[in-house]
Amino acid sequence: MMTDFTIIIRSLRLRLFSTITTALTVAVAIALMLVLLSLRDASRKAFDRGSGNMQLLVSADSSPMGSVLNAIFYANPPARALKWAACQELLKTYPIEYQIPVQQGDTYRSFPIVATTPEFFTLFKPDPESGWELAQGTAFKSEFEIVAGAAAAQSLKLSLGDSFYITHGASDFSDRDPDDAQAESTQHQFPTLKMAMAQMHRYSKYKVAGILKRTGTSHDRALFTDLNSTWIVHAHQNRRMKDPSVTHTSAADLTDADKLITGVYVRFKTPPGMSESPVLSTVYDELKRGHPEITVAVPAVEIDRLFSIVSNIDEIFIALAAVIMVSSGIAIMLALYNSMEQRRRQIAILRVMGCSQARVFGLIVTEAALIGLLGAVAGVVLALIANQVSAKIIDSKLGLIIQPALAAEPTLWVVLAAVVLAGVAGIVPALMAYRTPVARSLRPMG
Amino acid sequence: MDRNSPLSIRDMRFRYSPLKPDWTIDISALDLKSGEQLLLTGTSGRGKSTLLYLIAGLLDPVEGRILVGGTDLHSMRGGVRDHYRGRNIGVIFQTFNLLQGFSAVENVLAALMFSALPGREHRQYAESLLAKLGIENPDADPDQMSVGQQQRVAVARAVACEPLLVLADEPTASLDPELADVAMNVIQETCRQRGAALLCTSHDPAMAKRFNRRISLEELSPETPKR
Repeated sequence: MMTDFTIIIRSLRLRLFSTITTALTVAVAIALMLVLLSLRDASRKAFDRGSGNMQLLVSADSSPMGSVLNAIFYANPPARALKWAACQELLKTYPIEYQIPVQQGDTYRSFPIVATTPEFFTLFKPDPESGWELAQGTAFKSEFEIVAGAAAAQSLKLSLGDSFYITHGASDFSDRDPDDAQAESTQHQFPTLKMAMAQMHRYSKYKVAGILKRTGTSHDRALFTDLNSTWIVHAHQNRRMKDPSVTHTSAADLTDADKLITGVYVRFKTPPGMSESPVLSTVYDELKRGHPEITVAVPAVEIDRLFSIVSNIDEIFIALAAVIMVSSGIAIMLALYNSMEQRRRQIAILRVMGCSQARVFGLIVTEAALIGLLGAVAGVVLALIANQVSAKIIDSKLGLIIQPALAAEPTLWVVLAAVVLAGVAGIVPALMAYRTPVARSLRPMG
Repeated sequence: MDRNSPLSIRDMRFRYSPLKPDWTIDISALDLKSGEQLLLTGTSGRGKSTLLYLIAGLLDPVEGRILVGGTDLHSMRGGVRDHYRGRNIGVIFQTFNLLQGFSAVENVLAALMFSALPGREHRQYAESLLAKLGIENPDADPDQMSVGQQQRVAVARAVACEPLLVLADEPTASLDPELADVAMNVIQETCRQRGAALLCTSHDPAMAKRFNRRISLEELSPETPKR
């Protein structure tokens, strides 16, 4: 049995090249729109995950947003340090659940070294939903041990027991073997400014004691060690500058001036069932007004601010994708409009056989909508592929682990919008078909 | 609907533009009985095809009435007229006008879309109709068929809806004399078997012997004495 749908499919098949290219323009627009939407949501979730269950970040960075980006997302090593003892003094009067110091600035092959306390793995949760888990080994128990984030371990091909020197500053030239001639020579050649500013800490090798399971947060790219180790290597360097005969530095040699940190992760005692402590805003205001030498940041607020800035760019991109969608609608209209001249005879034959003008109009509008639907389905498939590719690129280039997924509702709306838009684009050619002069289109006449 | 009166034309006049002083078609009376076959002759460009389009309701007369099966097609509007035409009038074109991209059977099925026959019977009916007309491969693309076979597919399509009236517009103009003879046999015999009246236009004098009733457009005008 022949149906209107069969006629439409035959028509699309007759102009296969035009059908495919037109559907592809729709597919690209849909894919772009869906990828932008899903990446926006996924990156938002990734940023939300990074701050975990921390409620306040104390640092000496120049701005709250900068401190969040540096201390949680490892954008740059924090520029200024704080005395840990002073910070403890500052926070002691508040109902604190945890205060975890972090010290950043060193790297190993460009991966950030985060010196902290064991509480980082027991009290701080990188993802509010779940805590840390070790894939191999143990958390650091003694000095100069490293616990590697999952992504860092994978990229650096680290195994338990591996040892290496770390670098003060950001550099690519840290090496596992301190006696390696190449490593020595690169250190002195300084091919880049970054290298020239970096300096290898040769006081002690660090040994990999544990490798963490993936958390899907920025912390997966970090290498963690205990605070004492970092303080010792820096103190040793300072002591050697004053007295080159110094050969050994231990925790006992450390002074308050050596015990520097770049940030403190803080969580206040929070009643069960509440995500935010009732004292948070009070503490935030008191610290901000009373201590201009420190920067206090509520990560959730800073991430909101960051996204409100980024969302303007997002909206521009989404508007661009919408413009491309409209363009693809115009492409459908042009493709069908141009085909009308060749189709006049076919439409006239259908009219002679009993097909009404309204039905001819419907056939063309449905054909346009079907091109839109084909394009939209192809666009969803493209978006699924593009999401995976972009997630990998963002992971490798930015170290931000995102899990973009197409949410059912917006996807359905976008697909529906494409179909409606395509149907609307079919109205002009459908009107042409509606007005096809049957007698003239069936010439030769007698 | 009056099946005994497939076609009745009275005082019908038509011209493409009101600015033209002369009528393109001017017919005082023309009737066709059930199963009757009429050859309408005339030189090219005199309006034979225009008359067929007027009868099919694809053009509207300026004056007068055209009744198909006792019904004035031109008093119907839009879809109702198209529906009536689809069920009661079959049209065979000089260039066959088969639907491009459709197989032979699909061309017939397309016509059956507008028939009263239940959908589940369409395929079997279309295939048997084509088989009766000597088309053994109904799924073949008409472009791959001979001209004679294409003409048979066009005939099958025209009679698929069991019309009262078949309009054949110069059906042999693009065929050589031998093939034209075969094609006309098929058209006339099929119409006869199905009880459909046939109005065939042609400017080929050789066609005259095939029809008992012949008339030229000029003879149909009011100034000309009727045969």
